[in-house]
Amino acid sequence: MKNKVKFARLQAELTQQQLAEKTGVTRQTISLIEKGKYNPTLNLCLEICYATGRSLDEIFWIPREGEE
Amino acid sequence: MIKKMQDERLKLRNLKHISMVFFIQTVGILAIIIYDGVTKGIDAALSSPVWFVFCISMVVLSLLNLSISIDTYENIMRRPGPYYRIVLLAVCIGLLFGLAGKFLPGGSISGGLIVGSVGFICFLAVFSYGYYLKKKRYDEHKE
Repeated sequence: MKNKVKFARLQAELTQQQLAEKTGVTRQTISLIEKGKYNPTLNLCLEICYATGRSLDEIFWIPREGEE
Repeated sequence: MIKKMQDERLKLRNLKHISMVFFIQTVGILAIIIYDGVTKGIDAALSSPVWFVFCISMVVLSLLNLSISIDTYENIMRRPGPYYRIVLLAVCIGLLFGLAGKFLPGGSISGGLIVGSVGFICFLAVFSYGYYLKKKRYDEHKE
């Protein structure tokens, strides 16, 4: 699933390791989420939002194809 | 020191590994039972403790999967019938089991009583659990 986790993390000046520690997961999980290879649960999405100071909408919202 | 695993992705992966190990164990248990059945006869295979382990695991798996079946049950809107029907059904099944235990060749009154009681308890427990799940789903749906 596409997302803007990497962008939000860089904006919050966090490394993958720091974000992983803040959200209670491993660095590999953050890396997989950024690459769109792992779909996090809603709880983890919220943790990522709290850690980066963004809303769910900003990081995870993807408009349906054909809609903008 | 071993740290408690917090990562949801690793927990999911761990569950997949456990299910794979369960599959291998089940195949192993079946292989042992079949081997015992072929070499020592069916009676020896069925009296083996491994057979009981297999039966208990399958019963537990079926009971746990009952909640999945109820979730996919389409008629969730309908209120489940009264509970006494389940008790009556379990009594009937217990009686049938008891009569079979008494009147089948080699049967006795005590054998019939034991078989009947076990049949009654087993059916009542399973049907009650199913009833409880259905009622819970119905109440959740009503809310």
